[in-house]
Amino acid sequence: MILLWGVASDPPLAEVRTRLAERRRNALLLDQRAVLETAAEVIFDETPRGWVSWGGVRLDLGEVRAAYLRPCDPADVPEVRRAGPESPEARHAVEIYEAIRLWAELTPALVVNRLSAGASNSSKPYQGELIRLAGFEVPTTLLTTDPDAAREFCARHRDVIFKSVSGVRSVVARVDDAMRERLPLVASCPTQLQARVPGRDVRVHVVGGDIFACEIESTADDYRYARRQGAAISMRSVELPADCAERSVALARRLGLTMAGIDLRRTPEGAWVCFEVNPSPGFTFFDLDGRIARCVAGHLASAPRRV
Amino acid sequence: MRVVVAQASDVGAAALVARWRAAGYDAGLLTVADLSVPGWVHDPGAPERGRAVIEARALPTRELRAVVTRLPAVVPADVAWIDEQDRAYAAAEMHAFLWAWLSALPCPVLNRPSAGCLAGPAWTAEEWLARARRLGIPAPPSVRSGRFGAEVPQRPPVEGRKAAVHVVGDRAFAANRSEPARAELERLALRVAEDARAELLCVEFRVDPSAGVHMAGAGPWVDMFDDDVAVAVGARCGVEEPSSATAVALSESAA
Repeated sequence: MILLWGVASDPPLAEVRTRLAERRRNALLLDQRAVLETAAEVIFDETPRGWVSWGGVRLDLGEVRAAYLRPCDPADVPEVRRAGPESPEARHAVEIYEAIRLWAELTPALVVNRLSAGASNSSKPYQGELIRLAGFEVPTTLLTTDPDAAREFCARHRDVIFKSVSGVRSVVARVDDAMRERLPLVASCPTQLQARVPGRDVRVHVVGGDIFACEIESTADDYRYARRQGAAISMRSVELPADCAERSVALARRLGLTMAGIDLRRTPEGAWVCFEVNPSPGFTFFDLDGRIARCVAGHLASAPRRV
Repeated sequence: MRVVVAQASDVGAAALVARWRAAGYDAGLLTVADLSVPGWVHDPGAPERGRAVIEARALPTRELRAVVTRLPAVVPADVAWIDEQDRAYAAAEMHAFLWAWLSALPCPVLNRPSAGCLAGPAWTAEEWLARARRLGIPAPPSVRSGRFGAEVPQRPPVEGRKAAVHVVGDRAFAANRSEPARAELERLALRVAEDARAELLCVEFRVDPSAGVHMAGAGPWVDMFDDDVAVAVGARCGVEEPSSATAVALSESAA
C-alpha cells in the first residue's frame, strides 16, 4: 500500500495519484480536508504500528510500504480555520497531524519526504551553508540590522536583491531607489540582502538518483511570480553537466531528501550558483511532459513490501 | 565575552550570567529584543568578521568566547514591539537568523540549533524513546490517537519514580544525588546525550523497583541552579571556578 497525505486538490499530490493509478498500484489518499472524519491510533514501540480511518476506509499503517507527504499546516484546513485556533476542531487536526507526522518520522517505510528532512529550508542562510559544503557556489550574502552596513553592501554590489531569511514565502525583489530609501527599517529585524547573480535559472528536481532539469527564461526578478507581474516566462527541459548533476543528487542526499527541487543559476562565466533546496517541491509547474510525476510514482511503487 | 541566549524572563539564564560576572568574566544575556537593535552584521561566508548585539551593545563576533542557548524558538509573542500584523513574519525571520548565526559561530555553542529548536535537539517523547530503544535502553510504548468528538482515552498511570539526569558534555549529574540507581542513570544519560550529539541535555527516567529503569523523555534544558551543573557548563565555556562543594573542601583544607 502507498499512502498519499495532503490536500486532494494539490496538483503534485493529484498528479502522483494519477500516475500510480496508471501503474495499477494500491494507493490511498488521506485528504486533510476530511480531517474531522479522520480517526487514528498509532502505537510507538519497536516500530510504529496502528491505523488511520476516514470515509469508510481503515488503513493498517503496517501495510504501508511507501508514503508521499505534502501536508499543509493543520490550522490552514478551511474547516479548522473556520472553527478557530482554540476550537476542538483545531485540537483534533493537530492530534491527527502529529500522529501521522510522527509515524512518518519513525516508520521504516519509504517516505518522500520526512518533514524533519525539510527543516533546513526554514532558514535560508543556514541551508545556504549546507549547500556551499556540498560544492555549489552560493550568492554573496549579508544579514544585518545595521542600515549603514546595508547601504555599504548595496553600494559595493550595485545590483542587490532582498529575500526573506526564513521559509516564509516572499517575492524576491531587487533593491531599487525606493527600497534604498527604506534601508533604515532593517534596524527592527535582521534582513537578508544578496548580490544579484546574473545568468539563466535552472530548476532541478531530484527523485532518488534521477535528475530533471528545466531552464527558465523570464524578465521577472522572481520567475515564480512572472505571470502575476505580467512578465514573460518560458521553460524547456535541459541536460545538466554530469558533475553538476552528481552534486545535485549528493546535495539532496546530504539533506536527507528523497525528492528535492533545487534552484540553480548558470552564470555567464559558467559557474553553477545554488539559491535554495525546496524539500516539498510543487514540481507540476515545471513538469512539462509528466516525467517527474511518473518518476515519483515509480519510486514509491518500487519500495520493498514490508514483512 | 560569554553569552547566554534566552528569554528575558529565564531566571536560570540570568543566574548563569550573574555567576560568570561574579567570577570576573565578561558575560551577557542575548534576548530577542537585541535582534531589533542596529548593529548585527552576519556574512554566512565569514561569520568571524561579523558583529553581534548583546544587551543592546554591538561587539565584534570574534570577541565571543562561548554561547549557551536556552531559547527554543522565537514566536510572535516575543516581539510585542513589532506591529501586530508583522509579528509572525518578524518572529520567523528572527528565528531563521538565529538558527544560521548560532550554527555558524566559530566559538563553542551549547547546544547548536537543530531542526525546530534553537537550543539543540527537542524531539517529541516518541522520538527520544525510539532513539533510546536503538541504544538498548528500555523505553515503554506510547500512543497517539485522535477521534473528533470522542473522549480522550485515559492511559494507565506510569509506574515508578521520576529521576532526571543533567548532562554537560562528558559529565552527568543526577538531579537527586542520593538516587539509589544514580550510577546507572548517569551512564545511560551520557549515552543518550552522545547519541543525540547534545552537550547539554536533561534526560528523564522512571525507576520502578520491579521493572527497573526505563527512559521517559529528554530535553535540552539543564538545571542552571544545580551548582555542579553550572560549574560544568562554565568549564565548557572556558570559565574556571570551583563548585561550591570544591570550594568548601578547599576552604576547610586551608583552615
